[in-house]
Amino acid sequence: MQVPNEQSGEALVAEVTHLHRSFFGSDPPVEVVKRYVSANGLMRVGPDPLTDRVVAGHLDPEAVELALRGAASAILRKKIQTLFYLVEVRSAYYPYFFTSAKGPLKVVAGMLHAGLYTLRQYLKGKWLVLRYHLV
Amino acid sequence: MAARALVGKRVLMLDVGRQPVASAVDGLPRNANLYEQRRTAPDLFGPLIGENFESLHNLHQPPVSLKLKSPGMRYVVDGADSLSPTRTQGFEPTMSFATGGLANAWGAGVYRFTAQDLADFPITVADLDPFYDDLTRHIGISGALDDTAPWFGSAADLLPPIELSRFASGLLDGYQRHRDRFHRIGVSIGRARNAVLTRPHRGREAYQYGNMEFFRAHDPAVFNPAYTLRELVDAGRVEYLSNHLAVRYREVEGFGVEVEARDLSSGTTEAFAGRTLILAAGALNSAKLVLESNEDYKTRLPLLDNPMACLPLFRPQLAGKPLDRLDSSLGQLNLIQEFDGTVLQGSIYGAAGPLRSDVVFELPLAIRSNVEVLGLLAAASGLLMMFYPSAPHPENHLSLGSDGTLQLQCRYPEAGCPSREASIRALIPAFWRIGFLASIKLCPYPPMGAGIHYAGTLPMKDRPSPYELDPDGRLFGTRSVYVADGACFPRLPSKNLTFTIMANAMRIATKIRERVL
Ligand SMILES: Cc1cc2nc3c(=O)[nH]c(=O)nc-3n(C[C@H](O)[C@H](O)[C@H](O)COP(=O)(O)OP(=O)(O)OC[C@H]3O[C@@H](n4cnc5c(N)ncnc54)[C@H](O)[C@@H]3O)c2cc1C
Repeated sequence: MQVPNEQSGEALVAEVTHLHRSFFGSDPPVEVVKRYVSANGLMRVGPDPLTDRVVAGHLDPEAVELALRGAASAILRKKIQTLFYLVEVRSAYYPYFFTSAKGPLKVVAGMLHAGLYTLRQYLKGKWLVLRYHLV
Repeated sequence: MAARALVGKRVLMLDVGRQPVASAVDGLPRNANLYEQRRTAPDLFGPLIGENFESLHNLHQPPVSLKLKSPGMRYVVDGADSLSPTRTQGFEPTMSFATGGLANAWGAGVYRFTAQDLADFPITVADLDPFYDDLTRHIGISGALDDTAPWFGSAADLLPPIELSRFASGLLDGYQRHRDRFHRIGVSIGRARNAVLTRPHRGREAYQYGNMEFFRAHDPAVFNPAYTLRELVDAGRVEYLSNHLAVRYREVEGFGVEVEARDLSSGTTEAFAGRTLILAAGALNSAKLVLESNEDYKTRLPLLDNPMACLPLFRPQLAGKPLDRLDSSLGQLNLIQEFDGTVLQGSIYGAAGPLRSDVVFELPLAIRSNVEVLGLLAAASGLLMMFYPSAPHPENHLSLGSDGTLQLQCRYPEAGCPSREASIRALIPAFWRIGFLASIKLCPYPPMGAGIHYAGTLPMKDRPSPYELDPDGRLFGTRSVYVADGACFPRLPSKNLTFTIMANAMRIATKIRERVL
């Protein structure tokens, strides 16, 4: 069944490609693209102006999502989460999700990094929102 | 379980009886370990996400328990919305129409009720004990005689407890070193009592620590009532008619009862007659059947479920360590807290069972930071799931709409239970003391209904009135209609109820067997 405001296949391919490049630094595997398109159709997630602008402007989806966390970025977040579900079940992404054994110093460094990185992304997101009038 | 006790009687069981659907998870070896599979299998989309994107369910549908959404587990709740539609306020129900019901997905924690737990019941521990004993041998229950025994009852015939993960063994060690301190705040911790085999038992294999509980049902080691049903059917003791939705019953003068059921394949209605009717459709649907049979669209019946609190625990010492094969999603430890004059009960689980994407997006940092933190903390994390007692309250009720919709309302989630927040606050310093970090800010209180321990809709009473049962489970005003599920319970203590549902069902059926010639 067609959803009235369903996104075109090409738009979804562009979307998943941008999201994947932003988070994983490369183009997504073909199966992931196909599944992403099907999942969006099945979940009837229509187009989202915020996601469209992030994709069109090659903006950082993670920073924008964090800065607008809540209702304003709910669909963008859902789309990122969809991509994460699809990749986390592939062993190629195992090292991304499952840390190899680390000593205490590396753990502390990792936690600190996570906190500082969040701060940086939050500030970047706020700047992107203002600069591109995202809301 | 009632059918087990009806030796020598002709038993017909009507059930919707949904079965597991074939899914890619069946292709994984039976003893596959989830963590190992994820590291080595190139693409687990089929088994873990599903060709119909089943695991993405909560992204676009009203959320269900993480244990009920994967392709191998969806059958447990599939069709419930249409078979028993609900209108709810403050209560989020989960219903199953599978053979074996919700216990296809249960955590298998099994606890005997004590005299204190049964204080408002018209029955005693002595009434239930023979059935608890029998079921312990039938099911195969693992556990130990330790500090929780005074609250969990006899440890006779228990199988050895499951092996503990590093996280859980560290917690138990810490507790044992600081036992006095824990006892001073009314807390005891011991090995979990689970309906999980730790060695082969009655033809079923021992648990393999595959950690597939979120993705695959019917692990032979984890008890499922469907196993007992299969045995009874194979032995010719029960005639099992699936694909039938019971709609109403009517007593027939001088004979017994007639049940009207819809054959779900043909859509036709059929009538089945018997001397006695035992309703065991779950506390919500048994009540619905009784109201429907009385064409009563007004009465409000009591509605109980255990309120919950979920406290994440972290053991910094384990941060950065690889996942532990023994860190399964089964309850590893049980905790008893005597608080404010009430006994509270909790189970401690590992946190590595669900998909990472289920958890990452619940955390407060940037997405990549959430992934990083979760990766570092996975082996160092666990979850204390506390259950609280529940008592009837006039604002918490079940009724039937004239359109056949079950109406469930809960305005006072904490009826009959002490403050959840205060009880959790009392626990946190003791955990810190033994090197387990926890914060009240990270402790959610799931909505009512999420406990999935439904009860109290048709309570047993010494002197029952309409929509109540006598102590033998017989419905007031009827000669041959009995109720044998959680509906019977006049109150809910803080302990998971299913073991007592089973024991009580056998008790009621035994009485019926003795009475019906
Ligand atoms: C994720 C999860 C974890 C849990 N963990 C635990 C735990 O650790 N310990 C514990 O004690 N409990 C636990 N539970 C709860 C436990 O599963 C339930 O208490 C138990 O299954 C109730 O059994 P029941 O047979 O009374 O009802 P149900 O399990 O609801 O089964 C009802 C049965 O009746 C049939 N039925 C319903 N209506 C009709 C009708 N109109 N006509 C024909 N058939 C009908 C259904 O097909 C089904 O077979 C858990 C539940 C879940 C979902």
